[in-house]
Amino acid sequence: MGVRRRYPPYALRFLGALALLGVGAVHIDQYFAVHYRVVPVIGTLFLLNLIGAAAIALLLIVPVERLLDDAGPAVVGLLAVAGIGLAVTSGAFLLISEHTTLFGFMENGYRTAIVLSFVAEGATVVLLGAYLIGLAGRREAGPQPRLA
Amino acid sequence: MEAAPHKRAWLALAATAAVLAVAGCARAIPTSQGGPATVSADHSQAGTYLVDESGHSLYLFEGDQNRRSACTDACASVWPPYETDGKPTAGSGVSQKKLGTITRSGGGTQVTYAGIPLYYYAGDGGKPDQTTGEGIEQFGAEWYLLSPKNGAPVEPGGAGGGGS
Repeated sequence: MGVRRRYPPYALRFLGALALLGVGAVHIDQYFAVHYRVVPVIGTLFLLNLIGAAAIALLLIVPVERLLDDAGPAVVGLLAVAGIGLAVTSGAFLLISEHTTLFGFMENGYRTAIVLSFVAEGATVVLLGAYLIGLAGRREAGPQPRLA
Repeated sequence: MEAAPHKRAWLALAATAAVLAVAGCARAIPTSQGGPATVSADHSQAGTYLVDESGHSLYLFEGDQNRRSACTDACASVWPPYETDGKPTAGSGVSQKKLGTITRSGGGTQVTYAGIPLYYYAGDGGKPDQTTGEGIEQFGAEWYLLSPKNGAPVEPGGAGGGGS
């Protein structure tokens, strides 16, 4: 039970991880179905987006803190920051490519996949951000007694 | 005091995004050169084909019909239309009479040759003299370089034309 007291609700983290997986899913769909794999640099970034999103989301979903004890909150916090970073970078690049060229590539309009990408990126930032704030608040409140 | 590392992380992310964004502008595939487009002919092992004023290869989409572009949305991201501000002009080896324009459904004026809309290919990486889009099938139809002779798909190694 001690693990539960030291962390914000797991649902926030789980849903944030799902949203992050959504970011990766949209990118890999575009990579294969819409032929973005042929676009220099952008294609590679799309593949890396999926790999990064899947790895971070997986580590957020599994209870890694049970293995880490005191380092648990810091590691989970870093994972949440990494997830937010990936979503923000992905969204920023997408926004840039809508208005000017990015690595020689420019997006064309706001089709469904692009809207879905922005939604997933926004949800990732909100959910993992709320989890991170909750985590930081509990650490600032000082060590809490373990009930287990 | 816990906020400092987070603030640094955000700053690092913003700086990285800014640097990459600037770096990314170095070699761009233009949809318009910011003035009247100029179409010329170029020759390589692929044959004789149309290029823009900077030597970027231009392609036709077999899915286009009746002087209308069927390449929109994601297709237009991977195959950017060759757009112009003003009447396009003919460079070397190209007939001025065959040059024209169409208005795209989302706005923008796309250059045509013998009534065929012209496109760049993002897979060429914004580099001149690249023809990686030749003969590939994407977005439901095949893409080809165009012969300056009649706008037909280029015949590899030949003068192009695919018939007259």
